[in-house]
Amino acid sequence: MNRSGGDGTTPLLQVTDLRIEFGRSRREVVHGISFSLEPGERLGLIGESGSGKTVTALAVMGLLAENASVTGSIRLAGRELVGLGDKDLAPLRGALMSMVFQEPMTALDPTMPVGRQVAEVLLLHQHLPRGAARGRVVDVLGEVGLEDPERVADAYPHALSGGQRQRVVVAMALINRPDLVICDEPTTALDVTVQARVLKLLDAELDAVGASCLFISHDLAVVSQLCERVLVMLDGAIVEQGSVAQVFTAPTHPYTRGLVATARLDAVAPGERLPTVEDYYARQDRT
Amino acid sequence: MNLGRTVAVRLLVFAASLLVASAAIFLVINALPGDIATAILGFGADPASVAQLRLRLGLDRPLVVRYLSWVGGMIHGDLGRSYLTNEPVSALVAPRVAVTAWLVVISMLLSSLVALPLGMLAAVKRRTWQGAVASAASQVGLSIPAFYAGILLVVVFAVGLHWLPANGYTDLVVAGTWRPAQFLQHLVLPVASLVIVQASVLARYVRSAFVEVLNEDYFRTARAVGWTRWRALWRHGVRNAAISVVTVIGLQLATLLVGAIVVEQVFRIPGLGTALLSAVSNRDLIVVQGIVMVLVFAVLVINLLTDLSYLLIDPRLRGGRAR
Repeated sequence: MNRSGGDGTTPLLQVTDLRIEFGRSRREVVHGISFSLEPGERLGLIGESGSGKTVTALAVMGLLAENASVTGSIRLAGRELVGLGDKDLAPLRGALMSMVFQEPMTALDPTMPVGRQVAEVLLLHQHLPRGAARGRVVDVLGEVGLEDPERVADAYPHALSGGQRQRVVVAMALINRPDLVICDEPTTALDVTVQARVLKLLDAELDAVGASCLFISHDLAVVSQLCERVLVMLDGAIVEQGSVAQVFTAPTHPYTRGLVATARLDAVAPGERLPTVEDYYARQDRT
Repeated sequence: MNLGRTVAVRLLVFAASLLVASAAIFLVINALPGDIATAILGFGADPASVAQLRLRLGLDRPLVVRYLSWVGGMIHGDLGRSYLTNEPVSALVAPRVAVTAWLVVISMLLSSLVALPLGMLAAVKRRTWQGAVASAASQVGLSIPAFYAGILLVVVFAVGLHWLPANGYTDLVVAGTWRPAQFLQHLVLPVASLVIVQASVLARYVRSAFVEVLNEDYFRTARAVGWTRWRALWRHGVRNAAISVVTVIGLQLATLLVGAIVVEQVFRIPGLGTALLSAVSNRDLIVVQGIVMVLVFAVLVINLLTDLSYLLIDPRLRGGRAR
């Protein structure tokens, strides 16, 4: 499963002492985190909103706003990404690494048929005759489980449901068979039944492509379905990491214990008050 | 609702607006206190000749009949005859429409050419000094009234430097010969005085339209699949921003018509504006009525085209599910 050219001991993604600051006040939101991702591995990144998960993902993609400053090191397949400009990063995005976003309703350009948006990703990174691109797009749309892919390819986003759009976004992320796919809460905006189907699809497609995955979620249950290993992020720092089983059964950090308890509501005796994270982890005033 | 029906509805609304506007213009002008015949002949005129003039001008007929005959005439391009010179109003107006149209269209094109890149730059570089400069420049331009800009331009470039004529106008084609140089020479200053303001206003709207696009999820998606910032903006931003920019351009064309009236005065350009003002001061009400109708017609056509262009730009308005 190692397609990154490494020798198996080199991680596909190696993040070291990553610090992210925003604005003129240089407010630090990620405080020197380090983690790595092996080729083909799936790593969950858990934490509540504002904990720095998405910012970390965007830093890897090089998609942070210009007022962000990133220090430390992000190596993708041995190549340092921190300090690279837009022009150097663009050829890597969509080819070597790609991203599935949270909000399928707004992730696609409303003025362009989705087939053309998928074809663009293909043509940006591969030299193909236009006709061949169309065929490949329709194939991929079929592979991500869209019925009648020919028709979907000609549809504008507003004519598709949230689940269908998210499948299109997944197709865009996977069509160039990247080494790394970052999924940022890809199922949070979908309703529960669609959520399960899209997760299954991601599971299968990541396997088919052989890509590594950094899977961001606030939902421990979702992460445990897809990932082997998990990082727990809190207020811009990684407070716990380990295998999913380990974190689930023997969480060490009080915050993680809270997360596990809230994810296991079935364990609560009927009539008892439902647990909250605050029962386990009294947070300091952050303001 | 399919595309054909949408277009048909827009056209119907256009026709209805024209009708309502014509009735309103006719009523306002003809319900003004004061008799037109008396106004032409003066207050000392004897009642018999006033009555005779009323008869000749058709002012003795009921209001409804006069309205209908005016509208009926307009359908054939006949706007009636001047009360003063008995010249057909259409013959008086037509060449002036061309003059004002040149002024407005050239100004709008130039404004767009300046404002689109400037606004885009101000949006993309909004956190840097380049963006601040672009924003400040448009703020300054915005706060100068067109007539004042015109006077300043005349003082500097015509009176001071003698580079350009201070006023006047030459047709593009005079007696069968093309005169592009003189034509443009006379247009530079009036167009510039309109463009300074219009481009500044437009640039601000373009900037905010693109700032919005830059914050959109699909823009982030475009960059995530491998477009650089500028190319993503070009591929996926322009069309989306165009939806709001086109609205502003439509509104600006209408305000440019008004701006042109003022600027024509400053530069003594024989356009619709000058014709309108002289007709007003001569109490030649049927000419006033005709010119106002032409202006309203132009504004309604602009609105119609704006509406139709939305359909071209935004597939969501075209209606219908995926085929």
